[in-house]
Amino acid sequence: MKRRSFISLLMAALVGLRTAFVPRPAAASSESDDDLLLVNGWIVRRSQVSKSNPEQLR
Amino acid sequence: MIFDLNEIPAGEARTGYDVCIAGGGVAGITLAIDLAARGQRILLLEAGGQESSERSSDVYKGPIIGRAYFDLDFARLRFLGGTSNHWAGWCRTFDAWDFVGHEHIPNSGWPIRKPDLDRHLERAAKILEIPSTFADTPVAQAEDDFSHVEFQFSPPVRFGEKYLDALKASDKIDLFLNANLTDVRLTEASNRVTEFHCSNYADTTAKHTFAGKAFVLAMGGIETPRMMLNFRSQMPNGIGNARDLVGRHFMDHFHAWGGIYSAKRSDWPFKEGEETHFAPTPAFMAKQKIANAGLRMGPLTDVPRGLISRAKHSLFCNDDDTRGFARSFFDGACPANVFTGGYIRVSSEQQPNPDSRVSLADETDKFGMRRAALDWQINELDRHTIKHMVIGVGRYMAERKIGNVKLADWLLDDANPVPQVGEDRWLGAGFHHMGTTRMADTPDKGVVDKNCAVFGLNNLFVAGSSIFPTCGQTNPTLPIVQLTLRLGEHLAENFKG
Repeated sequence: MKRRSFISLLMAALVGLRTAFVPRPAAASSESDDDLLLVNGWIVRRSQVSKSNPEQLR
Repeated sequence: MIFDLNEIPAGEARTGYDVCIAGGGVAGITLAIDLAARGQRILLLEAGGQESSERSSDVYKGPIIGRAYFDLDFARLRFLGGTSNHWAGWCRTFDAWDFVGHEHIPNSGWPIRKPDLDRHLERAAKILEIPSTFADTPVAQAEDDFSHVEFQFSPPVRFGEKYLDALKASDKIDLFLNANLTDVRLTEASNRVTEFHCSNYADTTAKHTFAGKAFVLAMGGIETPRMMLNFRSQMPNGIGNARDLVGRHFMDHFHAWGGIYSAKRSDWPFKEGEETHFAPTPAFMAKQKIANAGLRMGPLTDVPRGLISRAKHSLFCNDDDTRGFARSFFDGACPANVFTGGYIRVSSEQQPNPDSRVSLADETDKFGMRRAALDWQINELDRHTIKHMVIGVGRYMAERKIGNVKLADWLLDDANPVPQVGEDRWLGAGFHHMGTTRMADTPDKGVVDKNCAVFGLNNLFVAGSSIFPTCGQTNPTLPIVQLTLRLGEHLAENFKG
């Protein structure tokens, strides 16, 4: 259990760092972040799609 | 009592049975034991012996025409206990939805309803050594669309082993091993069966005659129609086949690769490392115009043992697809593996299709009976069902921010071919052979009536999954036992000793 807790803490720390330093793209005003898209076969929310990769929207 | 027909010369007819049953598998043994307990005198014919043998299995060989399928002598077992000898033990009852006719599912609907089977659930569960409850629960935040369905697991019961001693000890049951049915004889008016004729392996042309009041074919979803089509000595199209329906509407549960899923471990609401089952609610099936189906999500890789291996597994993505997902949708960064991922498989109910069928090949077996030829067909509804189950679960996961689903390539374009059995280890079918002597209200729609009697032959009955008009998403063994106990009740009331 102690080993698992340590790994969980480590994971949480890394996720926290990533969330803090990687900005999320803002959605366009006419579009909702919750729109669902089919991107490369994945069913995703618009908010999950990076603006730096617009070709993914095709 | 158990006899070996190989050691018995052909001679006088054996008569006086209340019920003669052909087929010593799940349905045949269940029926024999049940009727003997009710005081009836039973004949039980098993074409194989107590163990598998090449000489018996060879009879099951036959060509696959059309869509790929498993070899017919691999998908079935021809010895005492039948296909229960390779059964995995999955048990579940039919859903109420399965019995009802639906406009978007052509040829659907049973002449009976779920309560007609549920009356026999307790006894069937005891036979299969499972609990008789199925605690389905709604999927949280998708209550209108999906349920988690519960299966029960039999040890599994091998019917030949479990009931061997009871069959040996019974003074009400005569079990003949190595007894291959070669003809079903009818009255001159061709409205009743009078005799079963059999041959053994020692002399494949010898004729052993058995007579009784009622007769039951319980040889499985491919063999029962094959034999009915072969019995042409008095009826040119085979028995029960005046409407050319015997062998048609063959169904299996199509097991298809539906895609993959990926999710943050912290968001995943289900037990990680275990398979999660989804089934559609009636509302979802009606809304999406799909058939019944079971969707299973499970881990692609097992969590490894050992501290270092576990740490690696936790810190880095555990498979290429999950890694690709993280790179695509999380800005290329995957600093630590916070994702879990796995497979999505769907086991789909098939639409009853008259062109999906068992027919007769030109080649004959050692008894001179034409072999089965299988033409298994997949419909557009089958594809539609799988596609919309995967999309439905994908929508649910994305909307609820649980995770994401990637559709299998073949589902992305309806022009893509449906994958064939054998193309991938995940693809296949359940060895569930159903629908070929389907139950119906009227003879223009099916082969047997609601009491499992062959239309036009009022003392010939069929037991087993060939009588299912539709197949739901459940494994067929439990419903087979339920329907067989129901048939036993009917035979005990109508063919008393």
